[in-house]
Amino acid sequence: MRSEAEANRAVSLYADTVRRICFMHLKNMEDVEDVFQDVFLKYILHEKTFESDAHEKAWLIRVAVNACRDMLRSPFRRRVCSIEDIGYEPFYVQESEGELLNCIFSLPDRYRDVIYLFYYEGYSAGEIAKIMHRKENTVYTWLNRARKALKEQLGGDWAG
Amino acid sequence: MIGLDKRVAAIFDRVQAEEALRKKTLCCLCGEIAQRNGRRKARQWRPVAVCAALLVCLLCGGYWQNLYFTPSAYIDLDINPSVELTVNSLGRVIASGAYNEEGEEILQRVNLRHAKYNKAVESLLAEMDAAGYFSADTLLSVTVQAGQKEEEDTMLASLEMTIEQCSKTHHYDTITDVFAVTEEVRRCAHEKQVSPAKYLAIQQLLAVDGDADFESCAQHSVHELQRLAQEGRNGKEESGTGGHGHGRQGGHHH
Repeated sequence: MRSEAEANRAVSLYADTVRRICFMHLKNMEDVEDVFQDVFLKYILHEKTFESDAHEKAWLIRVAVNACRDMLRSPFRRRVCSIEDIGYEPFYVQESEGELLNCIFSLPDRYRDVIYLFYYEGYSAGEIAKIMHRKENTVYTWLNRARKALKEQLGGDWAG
Repeated sequence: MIGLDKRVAAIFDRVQAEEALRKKTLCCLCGEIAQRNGRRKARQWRPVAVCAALLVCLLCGGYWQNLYFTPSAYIDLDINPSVELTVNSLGRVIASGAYNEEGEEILQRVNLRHAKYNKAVESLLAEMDAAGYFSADTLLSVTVQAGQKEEEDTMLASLEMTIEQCSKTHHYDTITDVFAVTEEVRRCAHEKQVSPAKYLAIQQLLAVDGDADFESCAQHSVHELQRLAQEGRNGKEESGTGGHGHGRQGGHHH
């Protein structure tokens, strides 16, 4: 088990990344809190040594994506979370960016993940394939489909 | 026109982990780490605790075993088959032995080990009755020797009751003599390989009959020895030499 110092370091380095993944998948602050804590709990219980900081970050991204999916699939959550409880989180988004955000949110989960990892985190398709445990070609397919969907929705504002 | 990467970056840059969320998570993680470290420390002591518990069990087991197999009292039955039961402080028979072949035969037919002493006596009497040892002119001598006076009295009372119950159940009319003996008498009787009741009866006979010797007397039953001693006393009284009077040496009637 990892020490308090390691837990502090991981939270200060990767809290924003984990939070962004939660932001993409979860619309409920309680769920976000649960997943956020669960991810770092798994981190402190993870006994294996990471090869590098990049490896550590990729591991946390993978765990966060899976935790969000598990949360959404949870039968308990399905029973107790009503549609009224779900709303966008309190992050200020400029009106010009709002349309793009809506488009991204309208994409299927896996397309959203590749858009975020490719355009924001700067991972290559090969790296995303390793993180997502998929073939590289699959990632390329998802990227192309996501871009196509965004282009269709954004029309003239598209600049992929 | 701004590229998609810059537009995505502009959106996601605004999304940051809230300070409260960070603090709450760190607090949870620290609590979990402390709890698990505590459990790990407890786990480190577990083998020691298990060993200590085993040691206590062994010591207690040894103590109870020692207590169970420590003789506390001796019950001797003599009718002609002559047997001795060794009883522990819980009133259970932990050993049995015979003074003669008839006694050995009886003991071979019954299992008395770990039985309550009165149940064991009941079984022995039933077996002796079945073998035809009881008749109206026979004497059943039962002696008790215990370390504690209270224990001795309790055992005598219980045995008298058991014997009376058995005589009613099996319809025999035998003279019974139940009394306590001293440790010294039992030790001497053991040295001579006879029951304490027979040892006392022989002593009585030897006191009135100077020609008699212990080994030849040991061949007779307790009842015969008592009768011979009585005859000897009567003879002495008649010849005017006087006697020792009636009574047992080392034994006391209940």
